[in-house]
Amino acid sequence: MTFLSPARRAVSYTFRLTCDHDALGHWFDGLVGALPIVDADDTTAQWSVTRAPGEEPARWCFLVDGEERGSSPYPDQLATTMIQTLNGQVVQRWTGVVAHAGCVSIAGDAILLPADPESGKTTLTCGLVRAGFAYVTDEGVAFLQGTSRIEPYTKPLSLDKGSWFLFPELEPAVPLQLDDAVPNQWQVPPDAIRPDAVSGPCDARFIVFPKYVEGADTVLTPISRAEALVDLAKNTFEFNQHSREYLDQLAIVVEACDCYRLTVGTLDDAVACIQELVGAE
Amino acid sequence: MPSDGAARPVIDEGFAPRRGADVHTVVLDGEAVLLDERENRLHLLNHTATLLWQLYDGEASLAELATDVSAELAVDRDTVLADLLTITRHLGAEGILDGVVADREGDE
Repeated sequence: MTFLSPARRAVSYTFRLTCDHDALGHWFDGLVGALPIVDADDTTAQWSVTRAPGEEPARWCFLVDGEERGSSPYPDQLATTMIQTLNGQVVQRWTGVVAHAGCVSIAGDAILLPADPESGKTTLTCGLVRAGFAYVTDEGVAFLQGTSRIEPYTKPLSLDKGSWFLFPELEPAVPLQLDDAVPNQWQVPPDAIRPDAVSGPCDARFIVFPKYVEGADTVLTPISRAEALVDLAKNTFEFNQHSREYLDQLAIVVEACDCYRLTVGTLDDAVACIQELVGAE
Repeated sequence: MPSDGAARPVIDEGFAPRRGADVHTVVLDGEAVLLDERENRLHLLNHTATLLWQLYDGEASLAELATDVSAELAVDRDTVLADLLTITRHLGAEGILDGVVADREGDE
């Protein structure tokens, strides 16, 4: 193996990567470079990317603790598989509640953006980070048990094709990319958006449920905490398996927050709305 | 006749509603979120329904609750009873009252 990454921690999951192509290994590690570096120990998962023997063009195989999780000749597709694997491990390993939400912070106050897939939460998260908010996550908000405190999960932002036109400056340079590649998702490290964009631990202060509606006016509408609790529960990983315990935990979070729905007509208007919201506080 | 063969109690003014044993309640700013743990369903109650939900102890009939609430809020008793019946029948249809089978005809 020619590349060995430092061990990194994603919430409570630690892993390190080996790769038998040095430049590719550096690229993969760069995608998760915002995750804190930790000392490896016997709980650290061993990730590896190896070239399938005898194939041309090269096909890259992704393994976790020796078990193949995917393969592709396209490094960006493999990166998407790796990040999806990481997401699953974060949810599985965290002993508390993980909400399916984007999240940014400012001055230690977190703005949660829970939403269904394809509702635009990653796009809004990216826009807010570009506008100066600190990046917490675009996927999973992990709460410390019994509190509204959030442990950041600073994975790369996974930007779908439909949002690329909003962030042309973030198009990644993928090493070893084949000419016939048809990307459908960018993995964007937060410091590619803005230097020092990563948030530290923060406390939930606002919950905003975004929904993109083409051509609509961008409108922020207050909702009751009870209504927010119901919708947050619907956007929480594994809620049905731990419903009572998770509902009580989410209630602690919601009690600490002002809650809103945000109809998003344009990204710029949505960012301005959030800026005004936190500025007004 | 419900599919499980059980008879449904008549929810009238003589009915004494009791909160379902498998229903977990969280109240935020006077509104309740109910978790039906058997069905893993969430229900949101407004302020009025939340107030009533907290009175459903299986002892007081709807007639008695109507008298008490009417006196407390200085609202016409018949109006209160009508609202109580509506709310209670709705909660019963959702399957979150003790001894009342949910109305799942629409699910069949």
